[in-house]
Amino acid sequence: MFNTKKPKIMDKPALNRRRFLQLGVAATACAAATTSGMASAATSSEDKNKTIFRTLGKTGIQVPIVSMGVMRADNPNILKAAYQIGITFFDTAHGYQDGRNEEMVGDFLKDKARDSFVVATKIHVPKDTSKERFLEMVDISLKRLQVDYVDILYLHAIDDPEVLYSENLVEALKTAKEQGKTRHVGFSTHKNMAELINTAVEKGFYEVILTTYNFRLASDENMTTALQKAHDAGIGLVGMKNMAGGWLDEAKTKKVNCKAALKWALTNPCMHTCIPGIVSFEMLMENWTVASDISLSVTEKEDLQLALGETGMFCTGCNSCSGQCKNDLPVSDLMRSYMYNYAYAYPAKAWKTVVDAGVSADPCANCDECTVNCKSGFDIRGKITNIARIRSVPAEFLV
Amino acid sequence: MKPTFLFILFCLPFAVDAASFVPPSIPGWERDGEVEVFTGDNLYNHINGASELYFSYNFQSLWVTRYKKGEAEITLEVYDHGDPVQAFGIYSIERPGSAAVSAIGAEGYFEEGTLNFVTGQYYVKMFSFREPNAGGGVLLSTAKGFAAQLEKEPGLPAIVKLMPAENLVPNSCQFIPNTFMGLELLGSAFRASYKTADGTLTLFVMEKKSAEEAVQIVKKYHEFVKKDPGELKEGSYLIEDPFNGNVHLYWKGNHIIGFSGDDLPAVRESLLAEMKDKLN
Repeated sequence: MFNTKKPKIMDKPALNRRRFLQLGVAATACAAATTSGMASAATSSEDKNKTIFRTLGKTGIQVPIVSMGVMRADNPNILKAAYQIGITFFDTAHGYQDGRNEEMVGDFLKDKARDSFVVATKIHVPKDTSKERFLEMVDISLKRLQVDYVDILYLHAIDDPEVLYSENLVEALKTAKEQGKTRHVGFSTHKNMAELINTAVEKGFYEVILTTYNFRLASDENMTTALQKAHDAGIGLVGMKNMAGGWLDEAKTKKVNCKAALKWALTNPCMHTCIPGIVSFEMLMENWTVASDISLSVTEKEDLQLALGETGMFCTGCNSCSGQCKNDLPVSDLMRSYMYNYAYAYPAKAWKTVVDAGVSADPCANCDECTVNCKSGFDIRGKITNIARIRSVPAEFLV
Repeated sequence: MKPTFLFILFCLPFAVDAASFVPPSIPGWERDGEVEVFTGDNLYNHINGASELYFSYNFQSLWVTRYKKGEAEITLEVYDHGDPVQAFGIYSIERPGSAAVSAIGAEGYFEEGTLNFVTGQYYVKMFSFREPNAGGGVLLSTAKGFAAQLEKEPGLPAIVKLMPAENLVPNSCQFIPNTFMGLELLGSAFRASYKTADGTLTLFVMEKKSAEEAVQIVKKYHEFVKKDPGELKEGSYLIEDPFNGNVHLYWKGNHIIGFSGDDLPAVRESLLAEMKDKLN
């Protein structure tokens, strides 16, 4: 019933890379990158003129390393162009645009040979959702997509191993597969990724994992190890959020070098493909150049290095600050409080977090030197001094 | 309020938006937990990858309020998109073609367990669980009162109201930000589909800040397809777009009226004449 080979690419694409270049769409994006040893071990077929394919683990599905996240595209002509230049893997979700996104993908795919593309969708449900309800949602997705089956059906946005292996959801996925509604099952995760990936390796069942993966995780050894284990176990690995949000600062004045960020993710040979969200032809072409050349130029490496130096204001919750303060302040909790007030505009929550932490309004007053070394480079003392003052404000004045 | 508190409140830049949101009361229902507030930095935690689309519509904040009545639940989501055009845009891109729209706020619709509407700069989504016929019942009654609380003078964006009615495909009028037709050079546009027995075309309208800005669009589009239009004057142009097919443009002042899709000259001319007249 299912074809497990490389999707067929159209015989005579009307829009190919050369045509793009003739139109001058992405002249800058197509500038040749300097060859880098970093990428040389990443793939077996690094001919710069050829698309690099990788296999999604034991699924046997071969896809170009650059695929397409469709969630923001409003124009089916972008999908058409993507398909014509060689992108074969399209990622959507049941909930995107309240279902309109799946409908658009379906309109585009309906007259394409079923073995010429790979389509994945994701379904986000509460943990206690019944098997029947889940399968109803699968049927709705299939109807919108105008296909008899999807290639990968993901549980959407999982961050808890318990949910991942909740009996009802596992049964629902098994049934969907048995009924031929999906070829493979997987889950997507953007939080607690390493633990979930490790759990999936240990317990089995899931065939593909869609995970956040970007240069900000470069020093996260847990994540690197988890990906390697999953790869070795034959789990297909798909990367998302490769641009780390696209901006380096809160004011959105400094952009991430998106092409470099995508290359970085793909230099890890365990990452089989990535699904950058593509909304324009310009973006499509820029991303597609990476499909045949993942070598990072010196400039691109420098851009990523500089990007890593931007600390921003968001605590990653790594908790490595735990126990570092000589006054035993709950640094991680206070950083969360800072985030609630300044990032989430939620002073009442910030106040409660500070009060619950049991600190005074000026907890660093008697300390000459801060002993906490934050991995993200936060000025811990400055942030604590700032946010702890909220304790002096009566709760009734805050919402 | 004591002076100390005033001082501290001035020192700390607490967001007035978070403080100014007052969720509606629903008779017979009680609030379930605190109002959750999301910004661009954590919206992903609430709606996952869908957040990127919301960002493209100038997303500012989201307030989520939950209610319960026994086993039944209602969730109210209020998305602030900063201005009415952006709010209409995200509403329009999620609105099903089959929706039976009515005057809930500026416009809205409901089904059995959901109700969505747009008003002012807000896009509001309501969901119910285990409450029979909630859409036309408790959600609708709540939405009507709440919409008036959010915006006293609701209305759709002016260009939406100008779109000709004849042959208009229901619910096809949308606002697309930044990358209309997949081209960054085009920026944002309103669009609507028109269907006749001979085919379907899309009418689009771009409203720029100035005539200079509009003519730059026409110029860049020509450059994109490697065509020299000569001296640009207000009037009609044909762009042979390799991605989007033939695109007809009419430029006047700070407006560009355009058409893509099936080649329906009579329909096109009729729509153009009406839009030109209305935009004058």
